[in-house]
Amino acid sequence: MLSASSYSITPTGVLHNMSAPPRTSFDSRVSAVTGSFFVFQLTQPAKPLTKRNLARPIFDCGLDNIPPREQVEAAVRNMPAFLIGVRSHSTDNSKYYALTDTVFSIAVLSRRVGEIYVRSRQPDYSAGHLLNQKPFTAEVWEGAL
Amino acid sequence: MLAEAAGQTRPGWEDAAWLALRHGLPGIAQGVKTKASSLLAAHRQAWSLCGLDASDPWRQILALSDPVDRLALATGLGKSIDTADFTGLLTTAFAAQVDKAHRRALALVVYLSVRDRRELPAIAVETLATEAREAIQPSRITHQVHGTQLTACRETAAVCSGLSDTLRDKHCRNLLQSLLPDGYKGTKPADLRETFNTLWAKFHLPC
Repeated sequence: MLSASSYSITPTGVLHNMSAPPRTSFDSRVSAVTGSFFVFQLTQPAKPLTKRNLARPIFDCGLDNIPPREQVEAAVRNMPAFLIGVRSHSTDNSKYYALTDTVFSIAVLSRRVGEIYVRSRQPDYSAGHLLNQKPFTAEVWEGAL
Repeated sequence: MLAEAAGQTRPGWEDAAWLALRHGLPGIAQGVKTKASSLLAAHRQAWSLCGLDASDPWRQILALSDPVDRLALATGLGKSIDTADFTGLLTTAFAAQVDKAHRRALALVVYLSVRDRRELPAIAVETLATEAREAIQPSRITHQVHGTQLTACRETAAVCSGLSDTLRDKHCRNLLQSLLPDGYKGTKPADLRETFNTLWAKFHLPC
């Protein structure tokens, strides 16, 4: 947040070089509006998957705690139509909810394009695609919690 | 009749209206040149509007001239406007924005208004994301500024100090700060705040 107290001329205490104008330091900050974020990610299985299994849909790899496809498709209907992802920052005071619920994580990661999630996108449920992704972080939306 | 005499097919109502419009402009006699492509686009839109049923949502949309007003109306009309048409309205509204600051303000408002209720193709979401991301991405940056950038920072600080803790003002604060230090070419922070508040109301977002 900007405030008048954040002004300072650098360097301080010395005459400035007249060939370069004096600079003023200003802090600008973009903050989370709700203060909380969801992090969609899948934990790696204890035993690495074979190449063949990585190419198959995650539902057919025999992994524990993977919900059926129908449950994931149903969860998608409760998600926003699209989301813009953000980079996680551990330095600010926001709360990050790492989603242990694999249903929503599969729903989002399978329809992710770069740093956006698009519900109408054709999902890619292959285990390799889902397990080899960076987490997707999005600010909590109204009615999500 | 002249067309028949020349051995050509008789023009339809639309072609006749177009010919009448094109050759009936009073400016022609005075040597004023008109852009034929713009005139044709206006004619086609007017013709489409005439052919629509009174209850057709497109009739309401085409009756508005401002692209942002059209987009706001289409957002409110929900699924009666299909995805491809909505995407067209969205890109037209963005193209009509004069600078980066206004595009970002529009992108942020549209994102918040539409994300829960409207399917969009990935390319349209990407357009929104490109414009709005910096107002959504949490960040803290120290700028070393002077001259016009310093003025922009001071004006932004003054506007932000008058904002409250409502949802709208929190987003407005993020928008204003995301444009520092050099995103205010052609506009002022106070004017952008007014624009943002107007957009917020147009898209019926809750305060």
